[in-house]
Amino acid sequence: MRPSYFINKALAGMRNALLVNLLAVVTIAVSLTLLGAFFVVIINAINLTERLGSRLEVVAYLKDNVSGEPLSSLEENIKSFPEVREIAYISKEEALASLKKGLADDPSVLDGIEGNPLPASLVIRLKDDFQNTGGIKSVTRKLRGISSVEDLQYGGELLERFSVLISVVKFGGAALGFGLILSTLLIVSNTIKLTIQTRMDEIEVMRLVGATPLFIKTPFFIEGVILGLTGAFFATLTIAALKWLIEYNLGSDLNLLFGADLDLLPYEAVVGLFCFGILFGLTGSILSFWRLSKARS
Amino acid sequence: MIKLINVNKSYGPKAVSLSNINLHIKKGEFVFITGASGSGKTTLLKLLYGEARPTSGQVLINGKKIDTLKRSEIPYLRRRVGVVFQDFRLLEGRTIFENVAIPLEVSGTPTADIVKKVHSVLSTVRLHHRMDEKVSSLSAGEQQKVAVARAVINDPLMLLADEPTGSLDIKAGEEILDILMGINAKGTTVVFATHNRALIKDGRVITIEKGRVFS
Repeated sequence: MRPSYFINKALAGMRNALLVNLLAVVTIAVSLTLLGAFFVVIINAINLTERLGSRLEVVAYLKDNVSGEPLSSLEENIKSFPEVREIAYISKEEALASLKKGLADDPSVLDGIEGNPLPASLVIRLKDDFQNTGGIKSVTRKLRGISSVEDLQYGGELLERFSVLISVVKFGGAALGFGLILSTLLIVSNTIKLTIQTRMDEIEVMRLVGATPLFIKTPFFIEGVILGLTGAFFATLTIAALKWLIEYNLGSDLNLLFGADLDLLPYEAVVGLFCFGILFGLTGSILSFWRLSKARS
Repeated sequence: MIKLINVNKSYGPKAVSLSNINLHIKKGEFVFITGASGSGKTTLLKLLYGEARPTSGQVLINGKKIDTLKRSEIPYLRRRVGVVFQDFRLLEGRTIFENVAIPLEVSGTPTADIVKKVHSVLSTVRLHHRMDEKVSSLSAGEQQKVAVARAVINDPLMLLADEPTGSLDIKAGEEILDILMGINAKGTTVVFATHNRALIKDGRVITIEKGRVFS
């Protein structure tokens, strides 16, 4: 039998039970909108944490006697690390000036201090691929082996916090996503079950005249995919409308609030929605038939 | 053609439907199966189109055991057996043509042949001029004619009719019986189950009472 036969049967079946199918599309679209909104939040959360992580830098405080040729060769040495993108030298004087500037509101804090106790330092920024715990650890290990480096500061606590945050976002998101996907699948499956139940007479007649189970089910599977795709289309439209509403009302405040550009309709979310729409539609139909056949036997 | 050997069927220890049935129906016979409601007529027919399996015993059609058919083989049995019910089992939202064409679509018949065959079989029940009408617009007698047309469109080995006149008035009932007799005259074996003995005309009569056969 040609595929067009089954597609026509699926479309005819949907036309014959238009109201139930419209209801199914609305239910699937609402469920997928929630899932899509979750995708948008999770994708932005991951991007944000990664961007925050990229602001990490390693500061190597130098011993007092490091200057001139030894300083130049030290800079060359550090620049040659594969993890390092750029370094900046901050002299003792610049460090003190910066501190004074920072304490401009309360200069008395420095009253008891004579001379310049601050060390010169090298601020080391890492390449994109190494802006993570592994990259930082690798660089700090190498820096500790250099005798002219007195001490290191690399926001260890901050780094740990970001690592934890990224883990929470990833694993929490995965767990929440799994729950959300499962509940959406159940909702879609129940909705499709309703559309199948309205056509049990048809299924019974088909069985009676010798239709194989696959022949009976194929149009329903196609219907499931069409319902899923239509639901995903309307879910995408809803999220796009929400994106427009948020951007229209909040505009640049949004970027100020999060300190970065937010993408409220990333293509990954749209692709994900359509993939899940197809998957839910198909799996929903298969599950529904399975549950109905269990109920019969 | 149809052989039942020591067939028993029960739906539980206290729900014996058929008890030690031995039956032989020859090819081309017209057989009435009669008995009160609940006597086991419907169960007997169900055994013949694979809707039920005997608890024990054998059911053979054309020498092939059908009581042990795999689930996947049952659709192919049903393409060789036409069935008509008291409640017609038509798809109300579809036309006469669409209803009658279903068995041909299922067996993969090309569209041009479907059109020819449906037209031809609807002529025998005198509904060919109305084939684009929805079945819901037909009278009960006409709906049963559509159901008969659907049951015979695949030229089945046998036609099973389970109380086919039960929902019809006397005139429509007799008309259906005449159509089935005409189909039988062309060589199809017909098994006609009814509780109404007044309908019985020429043909062999098998009486079932409480799951036992009294021929």
